[in-house]
Amino acid sequence: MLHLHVWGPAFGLPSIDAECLAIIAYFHNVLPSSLWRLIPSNDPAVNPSNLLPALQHEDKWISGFQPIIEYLTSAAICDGLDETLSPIQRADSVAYGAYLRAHAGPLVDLSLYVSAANWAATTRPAYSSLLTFPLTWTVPTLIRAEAIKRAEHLGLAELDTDFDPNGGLHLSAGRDALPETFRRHIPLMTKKTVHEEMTPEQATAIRLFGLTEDCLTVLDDLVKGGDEEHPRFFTDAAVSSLDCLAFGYLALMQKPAVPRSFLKDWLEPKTPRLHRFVDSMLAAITTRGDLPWVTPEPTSVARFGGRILDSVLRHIPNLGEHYASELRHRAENQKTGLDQRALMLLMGVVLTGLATGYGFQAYRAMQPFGASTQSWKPRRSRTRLSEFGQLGSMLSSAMGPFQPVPSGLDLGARDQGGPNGMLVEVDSEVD
Amino acid sequence: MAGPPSRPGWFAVPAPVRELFKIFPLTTLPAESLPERAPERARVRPSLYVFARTLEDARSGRPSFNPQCLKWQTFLRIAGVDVHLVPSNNHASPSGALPFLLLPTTPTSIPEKQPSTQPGSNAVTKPTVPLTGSKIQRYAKDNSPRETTFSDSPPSRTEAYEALLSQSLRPAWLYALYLHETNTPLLKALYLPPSPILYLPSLHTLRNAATDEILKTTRRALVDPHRLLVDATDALRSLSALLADNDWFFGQPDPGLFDAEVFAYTYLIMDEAFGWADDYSLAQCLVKFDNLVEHRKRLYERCWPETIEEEVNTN
Amino acid sequence: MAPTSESSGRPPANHFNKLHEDAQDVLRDARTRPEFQSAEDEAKEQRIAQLMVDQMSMPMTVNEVTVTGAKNIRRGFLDPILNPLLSDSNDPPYTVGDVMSRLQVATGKLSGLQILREPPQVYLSQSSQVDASTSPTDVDISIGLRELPRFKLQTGTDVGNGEGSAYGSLLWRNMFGGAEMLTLNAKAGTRTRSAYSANISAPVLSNPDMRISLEALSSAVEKPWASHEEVLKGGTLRFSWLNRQRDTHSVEYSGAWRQITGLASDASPTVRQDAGDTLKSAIKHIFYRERRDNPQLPQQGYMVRTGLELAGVGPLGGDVAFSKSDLEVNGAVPISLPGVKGRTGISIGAGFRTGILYPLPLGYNFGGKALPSRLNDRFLLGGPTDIRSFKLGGLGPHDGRDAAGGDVFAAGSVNMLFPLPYKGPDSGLRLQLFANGGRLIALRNKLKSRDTSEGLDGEMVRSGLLSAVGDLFNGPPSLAAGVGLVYAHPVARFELNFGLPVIVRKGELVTKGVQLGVGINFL
Repeated sequence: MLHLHVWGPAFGLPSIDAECLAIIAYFHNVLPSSLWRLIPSNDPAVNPSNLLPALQHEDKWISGFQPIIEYLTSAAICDGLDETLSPIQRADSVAYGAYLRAHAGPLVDLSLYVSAANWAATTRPAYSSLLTFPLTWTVPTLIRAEAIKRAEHLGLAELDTDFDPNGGLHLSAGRDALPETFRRHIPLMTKKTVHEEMTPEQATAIRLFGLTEDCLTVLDDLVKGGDEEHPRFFTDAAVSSLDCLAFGYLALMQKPAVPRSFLKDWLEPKTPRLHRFVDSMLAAITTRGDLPWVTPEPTSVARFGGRILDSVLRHIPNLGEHYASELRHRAENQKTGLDQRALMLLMGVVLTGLATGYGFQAYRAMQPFGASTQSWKPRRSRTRLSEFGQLGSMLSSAMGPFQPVPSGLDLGARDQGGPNGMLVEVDSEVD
Repeated sequence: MAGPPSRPGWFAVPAPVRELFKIFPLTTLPAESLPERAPERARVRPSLYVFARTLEDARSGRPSFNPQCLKWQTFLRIAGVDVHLVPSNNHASPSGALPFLLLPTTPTSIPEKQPSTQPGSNAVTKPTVPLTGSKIQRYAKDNSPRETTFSDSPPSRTEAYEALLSQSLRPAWLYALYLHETNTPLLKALYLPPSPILYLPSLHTLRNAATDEILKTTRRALVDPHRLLVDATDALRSLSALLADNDWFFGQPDPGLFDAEVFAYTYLIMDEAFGWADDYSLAQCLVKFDNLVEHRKRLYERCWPETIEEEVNTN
Repeated sequence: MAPTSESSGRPPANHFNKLHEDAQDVLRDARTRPEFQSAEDEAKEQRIAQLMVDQMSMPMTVNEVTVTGAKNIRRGFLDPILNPLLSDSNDPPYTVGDVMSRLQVATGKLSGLQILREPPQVYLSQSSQVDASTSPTDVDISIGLRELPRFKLQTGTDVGNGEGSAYGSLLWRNMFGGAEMLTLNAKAGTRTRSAYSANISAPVLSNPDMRISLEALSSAVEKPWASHEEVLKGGTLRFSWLNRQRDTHSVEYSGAWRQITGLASDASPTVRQDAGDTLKSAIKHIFYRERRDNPQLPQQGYMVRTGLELAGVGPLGGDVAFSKSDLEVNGAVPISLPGVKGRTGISIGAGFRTGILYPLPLGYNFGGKALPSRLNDRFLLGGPTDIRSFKLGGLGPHDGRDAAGGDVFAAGSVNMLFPLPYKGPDSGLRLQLFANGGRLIALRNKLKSRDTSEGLDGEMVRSGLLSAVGDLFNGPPSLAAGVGLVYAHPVARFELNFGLPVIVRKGELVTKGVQLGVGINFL
């Protein structure tokens, strides 16, 4: 039995994530529903790669669209969808797959995650319905932050205006907040030229439509020719893996009801073939029978608590990034439990904490450095008794009459008399 | 200052004052010469700023060690545009990444031009805005002395295969060079400052940037070296299928930008003098595809004929 | 007083009337005369002086010094300050004069520590004669201190000079009870993108005139005159002291990682050439003598400042090597007008600055090739605070609009200050006439045939520098003159000038007309 873990359904689609959608479409086309189970676990941490979709087969975990397909073929579970393609078609399939990830992916990110309006009105509520309560506060924002990072190179986060100037999050302030080391990787946008006269909304819109046009035209060119009702990327194959992948991304452009629907607005009138492609793929999924949904096993309290803690930790500025990269490092090297590095790190943190705490306490204990009254006396008039605190000076005043009376200018008077020496011993015992 | 009502505004300069301003400065002497390190004011050839190992490498026009730089360097060579290579770093670039191209100064504009010192005017010398990316391509096409047509390959397929390079081959390249431990000495030699104080922070910054870049492009949560290599091999296989038995990609009679881009990777991956460590080898993935290896050789011989002769002579 | 006021207006013919007046009135009349008053003042002063001299030689010894209010000042720290007062010190005071002068020194030191709210209050009292240990000459000294709060947090925004910024600073005084001071500063703005600094300083041997300080700095600053942004991370260890003549000396070591980055799209090739990282490791000595009556608005006196910096040589390391020395002299003389007594408020001032940057071979490679200077090490000249009527960095070699900087410079200025009518010499406002000029020259290798990409050998540096210095005086300097309004605020000096350039070189950037300058140190 194959267990396919995915992000759950949203926007009337089987999944909220493009690659999950793609793999669901793929499974639905190659396998009878009795052979696999679809689990909306909504938690990438179910598998060691920390990525959904993830396939659990016996003890093995495979995650990601392409690796799962490769696994299905290599484990001889079923025939691949691309078996009938010619070598050049397979090459095209790989290339266009890369193109989808490189260009369609960021567009979906822009539409569903970066745009504050769309995020607030559509995507975030969708995540809220997938996740359980405290996670709805922490996890979606993390997902959004990653999407923003992925779409950053388009430069639209900077022109922003998104989208909604009152939307709370002002990405346009982002550049100055970036560390200098990173800033030089981003093209300088401060010197506007032609677009200076335009409102930011217009400039953004022009760039957005430009990007959308570029991306969808390339895809549309490949679909050209063939069945008008059920367009596919390669005419001689029923459905290929590229069809599945393209469906994943295009469905997320077309289906969600977002307030700023720039992708949909382009898709419907300008590339109707792609529009029909999505509808026909979606129809194919529904006509072939229901998806084999299974409710995920209830997570244990400890695991749930761990996930909450994890997502909260990731939110801490600066520290969260270190935490995330450390966790990633461990996962990459498949480390579990305490190894030397983790131990060193832990020790480092504990020691630093201890040192700071001790330092702070020690500093507190040092104070006050002075006193409200401090007095200096020439040593000649100060018996050594008075150095021993109040009791000493009491004794010394008691002994006063026995002291030799020093004359003001008598330097010899610094000499201490013998009797005092004896008293010191007495005093030290008292102390 | 109760002026006449005809005055256009408070800040407008009255005519007599403007006349006075025109008189000054009374004398204009010739300009001071630029400091020793500054390049010559007049450029005869366009300057391409690239990463280069040594000044000598740049001067003799040897291939740069950075794929992006090599891509444009190769393309300019294909187009037959003679450029002057300047070793540089990312900080110098207007886009934040090398390469960029500074156009030659037109011989008439510099020596004769009277620098105006009027506060409002900006006609000192024409600011030189460097070219990057597709602007270099346009410049090369416009200034190519050769009869090459640069007939456009099918645009959407080219874009798809370009995405393949950036999406599947580049992450593996980034991993191999920046993150793979055994290649650290190589990375140090190529990109890191020699100073031991700057070395560690720079290494850290570079590695973080590379990790971010890999994660962003692969859309995965982890960097999986094995997976990157598999993807890179897939990409190379697709490229090999695309090239088939043709001399150049997309069946063109002459090499184009895409050939230059593929060459930039294949040349460096298989360059024996590059200094790759053996345990994470992109070259082993590449040698399986004979036509790509042939393509690499063909383009190198076409663009660097002088080094081929040298090699023959030394042998 | 009525008669006196009348008498002042009387013509001399009425002097006879004086005879009819009361003798007391005559006396009073005489006393109001200035001659008499000055004579009387003189006599008074003399009497006091005599009294003081008499008093000063009276015997006096100190029985006890009590310091109140020093809640956070260590006893060990106060010891070196107060010990000279005590009668068991190496050279104890015996007379009133001794005690007084030492008390003055001690309170001067205390208030120089910058941890007190106000100068210390000193009370002297006869030592209690009941205490058998005292002698009749003994006095008790009580010093009352009021400490400043130990923490001071400041936040604010600055707008002006083409820059807007927000800053925050935390000052922690007297960290360990020895007048140690920690300052943390953070600033972010339009031109200074970000600047963070931490500075810890402490007096050496309880002496406020000797301070040692350690500073760490991280900043990113836009430099529009050369179309780039400089990111800097570095540290400085500085020891500064005042000598007997109250001249400031300071010796410092500084190491900095500089990065020229964020170039404007139209930055010149000269700037692009120098973009990237450099590491500077340098020692520097600064001498500063201030003899002006008011540094912001000098009417009298002079100032000398010299700096000598040595970078990258021998054990210093880094990747730039040079010696950089500069000299600044500034002075003013008051002009008195016949018929006007006292200060007229008119003065003539002059300033002169010069500097030379000598490229050196890096490290121990003394006979080797010297590296030509880089953009961020070279001198800049021009701007409202040095050569007025030129833009910031407006003088010297320019590549396009970018100031490339130079290796040798000389600049001078002459100005004449007049008080404003109705304002008088005591106000901080002045009218000024100025003329200033200078020249900034870059070192060039005269033998163009030789390849200098690997560096310059000693001969090239010498000949290049000699010819550059020769050029300084070979031609006329770039020159500008004008008039303006000066306002000296205790914090800074403001100038609003109207000036026109007289001689300029091609490529130099000038400001014709009105220019505003705000600064502390004007040429």
